[in-house]
Amino acid sequence: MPTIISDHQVFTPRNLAEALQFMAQHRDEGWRPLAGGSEVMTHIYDNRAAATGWINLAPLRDQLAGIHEDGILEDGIQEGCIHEGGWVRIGALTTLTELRRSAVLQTICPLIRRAAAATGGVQRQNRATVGGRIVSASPAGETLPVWLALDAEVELSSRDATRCVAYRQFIQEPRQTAIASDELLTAIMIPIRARPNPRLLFRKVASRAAGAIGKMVFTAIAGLDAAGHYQDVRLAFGGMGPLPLRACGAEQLAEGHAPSDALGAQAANQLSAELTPVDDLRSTADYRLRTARNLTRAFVAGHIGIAGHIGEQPS
Amino acid sequence: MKTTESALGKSVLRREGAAKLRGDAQFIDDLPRDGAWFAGTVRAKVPHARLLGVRRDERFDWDRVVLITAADIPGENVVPVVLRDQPSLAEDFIRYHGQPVALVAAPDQETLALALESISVLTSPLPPVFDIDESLEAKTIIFGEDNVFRTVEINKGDATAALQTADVVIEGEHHTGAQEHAYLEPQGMQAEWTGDGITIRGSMQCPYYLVKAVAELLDLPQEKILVIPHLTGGAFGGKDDFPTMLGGHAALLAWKTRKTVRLIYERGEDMRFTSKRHPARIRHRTGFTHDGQLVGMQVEMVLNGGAYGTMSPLVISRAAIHAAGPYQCDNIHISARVVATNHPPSGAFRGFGAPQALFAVDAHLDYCASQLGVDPLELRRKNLIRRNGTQATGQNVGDDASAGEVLERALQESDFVARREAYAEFNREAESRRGADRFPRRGIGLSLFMHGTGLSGYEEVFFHSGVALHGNADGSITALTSQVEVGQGTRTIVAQLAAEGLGIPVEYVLTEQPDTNQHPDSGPMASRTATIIGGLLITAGKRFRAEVERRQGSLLPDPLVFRATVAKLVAGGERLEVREHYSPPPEMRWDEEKHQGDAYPAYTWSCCVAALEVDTLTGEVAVLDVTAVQDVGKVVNPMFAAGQVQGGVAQGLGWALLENVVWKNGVMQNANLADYSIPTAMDLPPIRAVFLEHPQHRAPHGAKGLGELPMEGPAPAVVNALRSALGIHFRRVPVTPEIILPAWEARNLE
Repeated sequence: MPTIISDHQVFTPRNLAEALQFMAQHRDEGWRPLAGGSEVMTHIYDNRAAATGWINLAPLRDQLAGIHEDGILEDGIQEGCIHEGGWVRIGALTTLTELRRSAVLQTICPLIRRAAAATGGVQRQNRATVGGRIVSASPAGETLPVWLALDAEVELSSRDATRCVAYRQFIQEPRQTAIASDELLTAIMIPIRARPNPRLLFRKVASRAAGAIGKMVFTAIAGLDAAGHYQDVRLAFGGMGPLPLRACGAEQLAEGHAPSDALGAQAANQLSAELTPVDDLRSTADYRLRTARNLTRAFVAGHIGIAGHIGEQPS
Repeated sequence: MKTTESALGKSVLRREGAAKLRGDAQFIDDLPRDGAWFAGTVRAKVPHARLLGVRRDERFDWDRVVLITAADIPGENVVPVVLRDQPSLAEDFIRYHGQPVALVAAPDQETLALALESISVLTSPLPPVFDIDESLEAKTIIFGEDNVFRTVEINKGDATAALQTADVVIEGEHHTGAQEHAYLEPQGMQAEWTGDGITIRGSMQCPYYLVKAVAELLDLPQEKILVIPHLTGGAFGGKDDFPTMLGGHAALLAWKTRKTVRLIYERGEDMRFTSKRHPARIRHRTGFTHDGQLVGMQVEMVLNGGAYGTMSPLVISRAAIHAAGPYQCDNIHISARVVATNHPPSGAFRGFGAPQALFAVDAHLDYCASQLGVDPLELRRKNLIRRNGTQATGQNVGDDASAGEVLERALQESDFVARREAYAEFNREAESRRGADRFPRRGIGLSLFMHGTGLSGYEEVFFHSGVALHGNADGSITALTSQVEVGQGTRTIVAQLAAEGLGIPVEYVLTEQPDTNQHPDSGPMASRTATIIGGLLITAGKRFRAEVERRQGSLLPDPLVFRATVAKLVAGGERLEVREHYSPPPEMRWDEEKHQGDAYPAYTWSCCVAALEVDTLTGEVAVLDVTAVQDVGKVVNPMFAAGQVQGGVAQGLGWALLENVVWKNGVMQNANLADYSIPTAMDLPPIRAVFLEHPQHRAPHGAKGLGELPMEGPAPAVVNALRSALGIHFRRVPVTPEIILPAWEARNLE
């Protein structure tokens, strides 16, 4: 029999401090934060959500939603203010719709916008939050390979401390993260890194255009130096194993070489050693690997991907 | 003086549309509780077993609930559909995982959940049979002596001899998958004990099936059973035979509890344990002359019927009748069988066997053209049924022969020939391009097909459909049929058709959701509302008008005067009612045993064109546009007709490309609407519906059937377009990227 949220205990804090205080007092009692609910609500409905009760984060939106670049609010951002060494801070309760519409992200990294737009359908994007997607750590989560490719860090707050952890270290086990039971993920930090002639790709392969969990997700970033050689190549995947991962071997193989069909083929061949996809309800290991190889080959060969400095409008 | 403008061919708005738009429409689960008990089903957890019994956990207080097993059934333990093989509750054997073994009713959801957890089904496992070949081997018997629910053979001329002397014989085997109906509203029933009988409300297409079934189950006279179809949120055939089981379950619980009991399936339960479209394997051997003249066809078709017979004996008949497609051939042998397996029973689904048959024949014909080196358009032009041509059953189609016209019109509307050439050019040059344009391939394909109007053969005679028109005190007229509104617009169309016969404005005709006390049985299924029932309504309307004019002693062309006259006669105590029953046209002949003769009063002919683009990096298919041309005789309501085509094409594209039921031990694994993908609005291309209106002479208004036909075109058109794009003939739907990509890569290695 399905259940609904009103069958459960819910604690609603007034602000972040109160939430963290509650979490400190009740740590290890099985209380779990509830953000947009796009993942949790389906688990509650199916009776798969094991929790003593839920900490309703909705009142924290004032503090934890929004996109800031070096501390400047999005509204205040000026064209040309992007600079090497800065950070973009995305509040954990920022919705995917807000990511999709963000002019700052469109300029700095349009991959984030594309990943947000590829997640679920519009209704889910309106509810789902950046932090919720990171903490629920679905193996096929669309935004997760992007955080990996961008060397993002997560900000974790508890009543007594705040720490930052590299996203790649934060995800250790399938569907688990390094968050402590009294910590709340409060933001994700994206380092701004200038690459020469950047090329970007985000691709979700799914059974249909919206409202489907991906069979696989591929995101790629690469610069080309003055000599036309690859610099700082990132090839990141979702749905190709229990965790989002980077194909470091294929990245290294491409690094320092000029794009070509032969280089693309070499990088694609390298993937077989790095990816461990499985058969499941949505697709097969064979198909996932073929697709990963083909997309990698086409990207490294220089056929697919978009130029990095983008003028397109958010949808 | 005013006369009435005909409402036929007008886009009259849906009568229940505004309530649905506002969210005011009440479905069965929206009804106020009013003390109704909740019910649930105890199911077997193995696909094939001997049933030993149920074990109740004595820690639960069983006095709090009512539990029913087969032993408690007062009447006969049967779900009567076509055969009588399916028990309402399992008695000796389990034939599929999820088969109902017991029913529980409880005063609240929590108690129900506890009770369901406190009961287990005891079984002794038997080897299961899941696929068609295993079933045909008959090592394990599930049904009868050989696992075959029914065999239908159709013979025309001598196919064996024709294939021996043919210049070229081409073989092909095609497969189609199961498909989930995916109606918006899951199955649900509410049954109420009325003191000496049962009233059942629920989501259903065929209320009269339920009257008969419940009377048998409870050993009550039929007049004690009242069935009121509730507003129904989609059906597609899924609420044709299955509600006969579910309504029986609700009725059993109402009888035992002496209360009102509500039995509603959750989406997952509905997807796992209710019927699907029959999966099929279809083999063709087809003989041609060197220049592509069709000389012989052998079709061997097997459908997977699942654990019980349900509608399968009728589905296999319709599949066989459509198996040769819209093609003229003098020598045809069709052998069609439907077999038992330990899957949940397959059941009625829009198209009713014809989609599987039509997919195979038209994909195969297109493939044959490629093998013969003939343009597939020319192959079709050469072989399609023309005026006075004959179907596989020997039926002479007379003037009802629009195959050629729908083909030519579709070619013209879709600019087929020019686009086919442009796509071939695009594909030839792909490898020479750099950048993203290197990877897509484009193709365009079509399918040519027909669908019989109404029920097959003698079934229309058995159903003896009826309609009635009844004059009211305010001069309005109520049209009584049992055409249930399931979302297709029936209530509105019934009013349009009755108004046409009566010669009055459509607003003067009242229609209501039927119940089995008031409304004659008119069997709402099989693409027949607008045509068979429509014909009866028009005839009844004319008779009603004539009767009013006779009693008044004058003609009454002015609708206001007519209405005033009806009101006056009714006020004067006169009963104004006209009933009309179907009788088949006297010239129609049908031999059920040999499947020879006039299978249907008319055929709807159609051509569907699909253009698509394949991403050769991923095997993903984007359908670019679909053009569907059909000769429907007469369009009753253009908006609804276009809606049927768009919805049917969407359902057909889903069946062709996306909808993959993943089975494991006889259970659907992807039983939710996230993992079982039906197309969303974002997946659908522009769909253009073009209607031809060559009236059929066996209905007074000329209309033919439309409900099922549109879903039949996309699958063969898509497979044919894929061959045009990739040069590969795919023999299976759904043809997913997991099939397309390895095939493409293997071809490029050759």
